[in-house]
Amino acid sequence: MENLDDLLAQRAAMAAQPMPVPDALMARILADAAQQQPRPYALAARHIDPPKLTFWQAVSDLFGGGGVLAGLATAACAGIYLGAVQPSAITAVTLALVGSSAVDQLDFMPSIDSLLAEE
Amino acid sequence: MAKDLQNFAQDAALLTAYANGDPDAARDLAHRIVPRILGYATRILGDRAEAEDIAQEVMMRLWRAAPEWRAGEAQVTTWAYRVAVNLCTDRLRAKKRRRSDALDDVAEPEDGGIAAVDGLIEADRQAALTRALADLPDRQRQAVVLRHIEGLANPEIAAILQVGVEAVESLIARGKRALTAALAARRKELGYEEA
Repeated sequence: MENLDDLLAQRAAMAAQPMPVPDALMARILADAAQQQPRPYALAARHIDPPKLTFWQAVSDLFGGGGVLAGLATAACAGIYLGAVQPSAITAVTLALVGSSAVDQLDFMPSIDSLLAEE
Repeated sequence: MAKDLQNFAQDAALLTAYANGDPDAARDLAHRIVPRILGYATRILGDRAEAEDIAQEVMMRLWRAAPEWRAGEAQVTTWAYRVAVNLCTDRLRAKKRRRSDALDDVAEPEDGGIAAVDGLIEADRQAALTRALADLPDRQRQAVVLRHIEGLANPEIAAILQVGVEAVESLIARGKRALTAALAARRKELGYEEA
């Protein structure tokens, strides 16, 4: 075993010297490396890909953000509620202003009839 | 140990730089890794041309793995040795199949370092060691070479061979017993005094 340890130690000392790498081998290895290396433009393109938006993110962005969208939705709900329920306090205000609670009796363009009649 | 850790960190940094498109990183990394893998494969296969193929293939796989490499999960040299061990094992198995098919005489294994040994007796002894190593079972030979010639620690060898540290110790012990027996049979011929 002593002889073996001596031989192995001698072999290890020889192995400690870096094995010379033939130029042709190193050239092949570096050519492979150049071929496989990720290209900078590919890396850059990968980084500037815009993130994919969900439907609600897209709608929210269209109206200027989530807060604005929430405000619009609340106002729409309140309008529908007031129109459907017609609370007495609101009806009184409407009567005082237009003289009737029926919306279809309002004349939004009072002058158009006279225009038509002239023709 | 601190120097080893510094080397491991440097290897990982070079590989990351390569993956990020640094054109010089590949050259630096190849000069650090290829001589070790080439030396190991030459000692295991005993054939310089095949060892060069192994070194090129190991580096090709490293370049391909670079973009997905996660620093800290594996050391670059350990990973490279592991790939080299697997490729050498495949080559040795293929050689054995060809040998048993052809029934050719077995060629004497080469080892580039033996030519540098001073004196005929020392050269004969190293040649006998090469021959005895070549006759070991593959796993024992790999473990003995990694431990006693490449100078790696048992935990690193365990990571390379993907076995436990105790299994590495057992492989090395059995390998050395077999080498001792092989050399004992040629004691007189190799110029050793009878025990």
